[in-house]
Amino acid sequence: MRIHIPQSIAEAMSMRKELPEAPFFAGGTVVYALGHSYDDAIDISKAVGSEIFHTMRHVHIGAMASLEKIRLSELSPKVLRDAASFCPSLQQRNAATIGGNAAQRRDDGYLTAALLASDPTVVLMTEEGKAEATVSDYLAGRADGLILEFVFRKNLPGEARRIGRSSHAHMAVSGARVGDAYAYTASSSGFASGGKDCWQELGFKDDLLGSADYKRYLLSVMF
Amino acid sequence: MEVRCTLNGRNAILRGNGDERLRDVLYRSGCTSVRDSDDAEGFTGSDTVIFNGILRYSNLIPLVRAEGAEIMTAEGLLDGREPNDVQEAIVAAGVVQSAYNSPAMALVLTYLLKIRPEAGREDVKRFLSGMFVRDAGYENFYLAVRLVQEKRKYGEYRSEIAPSFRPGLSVIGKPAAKIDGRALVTGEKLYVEDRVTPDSYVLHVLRSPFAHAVVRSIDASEAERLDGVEAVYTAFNVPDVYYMQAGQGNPEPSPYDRKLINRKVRHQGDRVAAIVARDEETAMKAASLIRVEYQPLEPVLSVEDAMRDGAPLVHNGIVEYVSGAPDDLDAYNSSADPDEEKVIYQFPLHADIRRNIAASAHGGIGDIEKGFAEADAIVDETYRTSQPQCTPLEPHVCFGHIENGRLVLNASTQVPYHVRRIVARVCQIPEHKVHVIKEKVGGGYGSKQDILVEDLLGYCVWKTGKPIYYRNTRAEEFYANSTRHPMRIRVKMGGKKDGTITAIYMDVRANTGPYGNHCLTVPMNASSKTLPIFRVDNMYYDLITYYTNCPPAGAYQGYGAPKGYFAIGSALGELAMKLGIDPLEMAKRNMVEEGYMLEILKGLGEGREGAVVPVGSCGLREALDKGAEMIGWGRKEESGDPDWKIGKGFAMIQQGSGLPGLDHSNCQVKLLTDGTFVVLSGGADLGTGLDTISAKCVAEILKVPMSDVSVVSGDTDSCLFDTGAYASSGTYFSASASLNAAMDLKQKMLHEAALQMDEDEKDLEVMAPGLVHSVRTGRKLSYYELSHTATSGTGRGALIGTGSFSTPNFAVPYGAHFAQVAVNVRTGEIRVQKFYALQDAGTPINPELAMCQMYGAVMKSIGHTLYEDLVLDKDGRCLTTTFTDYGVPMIEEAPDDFKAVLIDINDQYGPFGAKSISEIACNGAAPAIAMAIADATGAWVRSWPITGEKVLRALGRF
Ligand SMILES: Cc1cc2nc3c(=O)[nH]c(=O)nc-3n(C[C@H](O)[C@H](O)[C@H](O)COP(=O)(O)OP(=O)(O)OC[C@H]3O[C@@H](n4cnc5c(N)ncnc54)[C@H](O)[C@@H]3O)c2cc1C
Ligand code: FES
Repeated sequence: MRIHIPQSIAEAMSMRKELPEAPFFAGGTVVYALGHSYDDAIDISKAVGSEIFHTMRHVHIGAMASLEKIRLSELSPKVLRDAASFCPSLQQRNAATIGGNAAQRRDDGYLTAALLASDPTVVLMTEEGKAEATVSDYLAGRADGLILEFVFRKNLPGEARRIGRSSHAHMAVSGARVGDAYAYTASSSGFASGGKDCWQELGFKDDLLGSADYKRYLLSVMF
Repeated sequence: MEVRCTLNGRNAILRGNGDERLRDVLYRSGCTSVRDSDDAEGFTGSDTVIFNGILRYSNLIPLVRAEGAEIMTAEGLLDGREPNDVQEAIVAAGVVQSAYNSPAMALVLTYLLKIRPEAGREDVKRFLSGMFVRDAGYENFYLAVRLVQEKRKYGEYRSEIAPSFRPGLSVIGKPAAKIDGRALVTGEKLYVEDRVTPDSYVLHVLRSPFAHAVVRSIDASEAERLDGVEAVYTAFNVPDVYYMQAGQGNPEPSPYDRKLINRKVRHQGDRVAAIVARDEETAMKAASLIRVEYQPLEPVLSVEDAMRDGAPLVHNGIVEYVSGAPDDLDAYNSSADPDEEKVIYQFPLHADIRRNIAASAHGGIGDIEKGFAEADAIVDETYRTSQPQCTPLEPHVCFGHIENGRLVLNASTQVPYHVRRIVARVCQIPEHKVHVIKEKVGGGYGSKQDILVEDLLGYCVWKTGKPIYYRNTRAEEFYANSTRHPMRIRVKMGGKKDGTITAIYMDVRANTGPYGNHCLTVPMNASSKTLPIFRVDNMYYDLITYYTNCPPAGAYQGYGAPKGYFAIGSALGELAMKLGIDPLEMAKRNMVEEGYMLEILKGLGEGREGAVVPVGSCGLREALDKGAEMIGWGRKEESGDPDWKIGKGFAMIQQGSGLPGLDHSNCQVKLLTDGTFVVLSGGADLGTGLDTISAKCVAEILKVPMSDVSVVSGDTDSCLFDTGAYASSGTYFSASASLNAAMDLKQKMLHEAALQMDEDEKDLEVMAPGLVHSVRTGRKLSYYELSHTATSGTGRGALIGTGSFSTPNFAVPYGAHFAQVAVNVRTGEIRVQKFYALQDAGTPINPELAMCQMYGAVMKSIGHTLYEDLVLDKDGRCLTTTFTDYGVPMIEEAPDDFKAVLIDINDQYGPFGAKSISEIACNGAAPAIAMAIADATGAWVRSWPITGEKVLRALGRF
């Protein structure tokens, strides 16, 4: 793997244009872990920020912020802090980033449900320039690009829950609620957000983590 | 590239490719404490470093990111060779056992205590969240942190590390830091990987993608022509030598049903070709150039598949017997496929490969039909266990080279002498041509009782003359290694209203996978270690072990006993529930006690008639009573949340201590010229503290401090034969040999001293701190003077004590495990709140190590019971080849309240009254947890793993 280290967002984008197959290397807990091999990767640690700060109405979380930093920050929405702790190991949380997590659009993603329920704006750099998208558009693949930051409303209430066989097993299901907004994930079965019963939209499937019936049942009693 | 950074407080330049894993670069740069256990999965934490002030997995950091970084590894904890206080404390607490990631654990805790000096239990849990420990469990890391805090505050440890036993003895029964603890915790180069020389070649195994297939042809010519490829071995050019990989007493109760590489592949991952090449890259390239023509066959993936009429046959070659051949063997062989590998029995195992039966046995006492007729209630249920993997942090690994015309193997093994014998056999050379050096073993748990890599590596080294290194990938550990035998156990148990059990019947069907390693002995233990705990007149068992195309099975701590106990312990609970009586009272009513004649043993010999003996020392009743009191047996706990129900369960358990009549150990103790001692023990210390026990035997008998004793063990050149570390034989057998050697040396020293002192031998005694003393004259002779004179120009020669040990006597450990479990009846989540393991290990020679063995074994069993699962697809391919997918328990899964209690019993046969400790500790969790879940919810789940989904289904939630 050749690791390219752009010093700026613009440089990162032009590298990506040249190397469309190269993933962004953020925390590396996916792109550099067992089972992944790429010819090239674009290390975005120098280009993309990891700060967590607030303005009058919003909390900004840089895409390179680690899950541990999010978990510990008083500024992070509670639901996101809950979800960051679903990543079970301290060493992993110290490396794994929110950008890398969202970018995988996983239906067993630690943050997926929390992001959907808290509905931040995703600030992206695309080939056309800076853009904003709703998190649901981003996670559904309707928006793409290099994630620069997430912008949350301030003081969001809420909570996130997970059910998995053990702390380090992938989650069979997860859910988050922020006020009236609910979001759910089920492994191999997708994710959904909306009202309390929006889990019914999922196409449940059997996998190593449990049967479709099990996952459907769990989401029906989660909140 | 060159990367400038700060490494352990000093400026450093690290060299390598920018995309190289920092772990590999650090290891190569001399930081050998930074190890890898998961091929960069990011799970086990053996590779943990402090990177720019935070804990990180160094495997997941590319070298290029280390530019300007501040890096600290466990090497940075040392002051010269001196460990820091955290390292000292984790040795003292007994958690440094196989120790593959102990240096990393010490680093993490040092870091924690730096940023949070008052760290409490929750902090420790959070900081160890990314560290996997299989051997000693997690519990005593909390103790270690407390010890450091106390030492920093008061200048001494205040907490009790472990209780002390035998006040009359000085080191036996007292917690004392393990003799190799310091070397292990400081990250010394002690493992096989540390012996690999820069000129070494690699061995790569091309493995079968099919679970069952015939290899029709192999074209390896292109691979052989590739630059850097030294040799390629396949079924078509390996010797026609049959053997089996289980390291057992010879002649083995397992069939010789394989060659180094077979024409027929019998599981996904079975060997197809062995490639010896300059480096891994070349070997992989060569593997891709080998063209194999397979004829896939229908796989057999369960005992039900295997026993089906017309099932495909896993083995269908010619059958031969070394002894005891049946009269109709020719007729039996008339349907054999001569192209298939043979199956050779050393003696009959009551097998029938034409029905996929690898071995069978049956036996019992009394009249079970009469027993069932007398019962007021009967349960008849079938329990299933899964295929847990040992998951040692250090995978199977071996390095070999030729020296002085001999094959030298640096091995991570529980059975160095069986490695020597089996490797000599496959290489067709005499044993004196093979030198096996048992290095520190980074976790074995039974899987390193099988010769799974040394056979092939040894052959390749012998043939090519090259130094060669082999290491299983973690995925290979899962699908091409050894696992617990999956079992289906039907238990029929009948009882009267007063709690008397009138009859027990066990029908054990075991799955040995593709080869017959331990196909009799492991499944036998499901009955032979369970039925003898019952004082029941009518008991019978049937056992059939089947071949299948599942990943190989083999030895695993506890052998078949944990599975047998899951079945029989659950059945006892179910019967008690049916009779409306307390299962604990029922257990006590039907358990054996000291002196009870074990008639049942007659039918439980492993392939022979067993000897009937009385129950020896037995702390079972005390363990049950004490455990019941600790957990508040009979008291219903409420959670305060209607969804969370709490239940309690227990199991009474036993095991053995080695195999009387089969096992054999030897030891020598040498008096050196300065009056100190070296022990040469045949025993293979796996990290469990056997070397420390040997040192304690010498220190106790010769009245010297332990610091005067060093131990060399498991080196086949310098140490005498020992059958190996399995079946809980270490303390009883190997340590008895050490004790006998120490006593022999003492006798010789007194004899020599009498001559030197001109005293009568009977007036002499040894006394601390290493003197011979005359009770008649009061004169003293130091060991230094004694040895110096004995080895002088006019001396009578060096003093060496030799001891061997074999025995017909059983030293059986007993115990009781209690669990309190909370179950969320809405979500199926299960939490082990309390676990109390009470065991009678006779005299616990190393009490703190013994307790950590118990914590570790219980954690493994909690894992097997609730989380771990090796899953195959419909074609027999393993789907769970990572730690995450397989599901080992981490610190978060450890019980909130976890206690190991040693019941004080003195055994009449064991050394200083000791019995075994660790295997038995695998037996209690499954039945105790299953019973607790049933107590909480009313639902019995009868298969491993007991998942939330199964509980919810049993409750009819969906
Ligand atoms: C043992 C183990 C188990 C795991 N289990 C889970 C799990 O159950 N659930 C889960 O969610 N995760 C899991 N992960 C993965 C992981 O740790 C997290 O998802 C993490 O948040 C990924 O972030 P990263 O920074 O490490 O991503 P990286 O590995 O650096 O990148 C991952 C992907 O994200 C893209 N990416 C990264 N940053 C950006 C960005 N700013 N903009 C656009 N694209 C970007 C990359 O192109 C790449 O495709 C596991 C990891 C390990 C090691
Ligand atoms: S990534 Fe941690 S030991 Fe391999």
